[in-house]
Amino acid sequence: MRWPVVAIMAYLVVGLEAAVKPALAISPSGFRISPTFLIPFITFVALSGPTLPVLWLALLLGAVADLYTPRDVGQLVVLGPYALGFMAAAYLVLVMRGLMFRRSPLSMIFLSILATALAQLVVVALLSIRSIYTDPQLWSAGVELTNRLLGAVYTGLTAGVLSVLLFPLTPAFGFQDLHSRRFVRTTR
Amino acid sequence: MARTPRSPLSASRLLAVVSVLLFILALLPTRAIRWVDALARPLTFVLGPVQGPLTRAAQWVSGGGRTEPGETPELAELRRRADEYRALWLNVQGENERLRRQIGELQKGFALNPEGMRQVYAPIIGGGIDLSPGLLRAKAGEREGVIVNSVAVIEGVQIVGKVTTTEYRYCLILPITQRAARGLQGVVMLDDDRPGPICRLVPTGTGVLNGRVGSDEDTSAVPLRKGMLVRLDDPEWPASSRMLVIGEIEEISTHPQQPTRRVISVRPRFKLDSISEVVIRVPTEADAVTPPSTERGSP
Repeated sequence: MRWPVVAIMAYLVVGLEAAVKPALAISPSGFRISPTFLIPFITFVALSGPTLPVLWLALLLGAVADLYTPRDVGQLVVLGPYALGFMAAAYLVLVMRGLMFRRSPLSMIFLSILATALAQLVVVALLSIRSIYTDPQLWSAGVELTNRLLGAVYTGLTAGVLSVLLFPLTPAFGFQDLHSRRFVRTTR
Repeated sequence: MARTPRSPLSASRLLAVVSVLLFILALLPTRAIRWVDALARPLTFVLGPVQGPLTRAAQWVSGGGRTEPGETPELAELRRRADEYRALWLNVQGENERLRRQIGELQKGFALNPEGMRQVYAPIIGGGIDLSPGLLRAKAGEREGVIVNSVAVIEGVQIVGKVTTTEYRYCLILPITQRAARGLQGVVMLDDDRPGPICRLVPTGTGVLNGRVGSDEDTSAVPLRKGMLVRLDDPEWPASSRMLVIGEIEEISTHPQQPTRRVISVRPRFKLDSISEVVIRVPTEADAVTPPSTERGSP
């Protein structure tokens, strides 16, 4: 896996996440539903990338999401929920990729939705535990979970768009073909 | 063949250790993780250059967050100017009243402070990656003289919120519709220039603020109707922001425990979570209000 290419694409995707996500957010009936670009990107990398680097990438992107999300009145940053959530999402994709067609946009959409749901579950769980001993009035676990699970479904849209953009760039990422790696004969 | 011994610092072990540390960090109390904010500041410099242009492009495509569709640009400009002049006139009326009191108090020997504020234009470049805290990031900061507790407005008179954090080039604004904003006091305008009962409004987190109207028998008889403007009249906000618009009455109902008192729902005239620019009204030293303690600790 070529880390410079991954880093550049990750930077652009984080920019998309921070800039475009609020514009795509919809608010039907008091909910606030928004898609994510980061998890479809992680899904794309996890479909073909090596295990450990993918998990590190997910952890780093999650840490960036945590650091770039001011909480409370803007003076608090909680590092951990998204880092662990994205890692869980990447692990899910790594486990399930053997069952999917890896170069199929439908696979990426399906796995992105599942991975986003798992990541948001982890995030809500950790933040809900925090809210018990911080400020419970400002956190509603039920509302947040509903918003985020609906957002996971909405993420199918961004996953579809990103799959169209990223699959043609697969050679640039330098993913090794997992089938040929498995059957390489070592000579001594 | 002998197995190669694994290094104690292998990547997989390091990942496991880092994961455990992050789990612990995620659950530490607020006081123990204040230092993490320092790690976040460099990110703003790194992501700002790409976030700004993408935000403007996204806002241009989506058309912004006005709640009044079908308005021509000329009509919108005229309406904005009319709103500004009206708010200025009401502020001057209040200022005249204050000056009369000030003259009286000066005659008794009390020292009073002058007021003033400076306006700074700031485009909104998004918020955080997680939208649930609801904070807005504006491209104006300490370099432009923005200070904490400055008031952000849109279209001249509609309050967006207060500045809660400042960095060198950016600042964070907490919209009045977010639950962390805690609420504010307003006055219901019975018509363009006649203030009515006072109301204490609390954000519900759904873009609306709810509050009870008045506290005495006189105000319970005042007729209220949907569409009435509610303006700011809160001593905890800078004096120069008095009479700025909080929103319009969307719904009027009866308080469940006190049938003689009414509860109003007020909605700002713009969707505060999808605006593209604000004007930050930076108070002078004399006009500034001491920010309350921020040791709240929401997740």
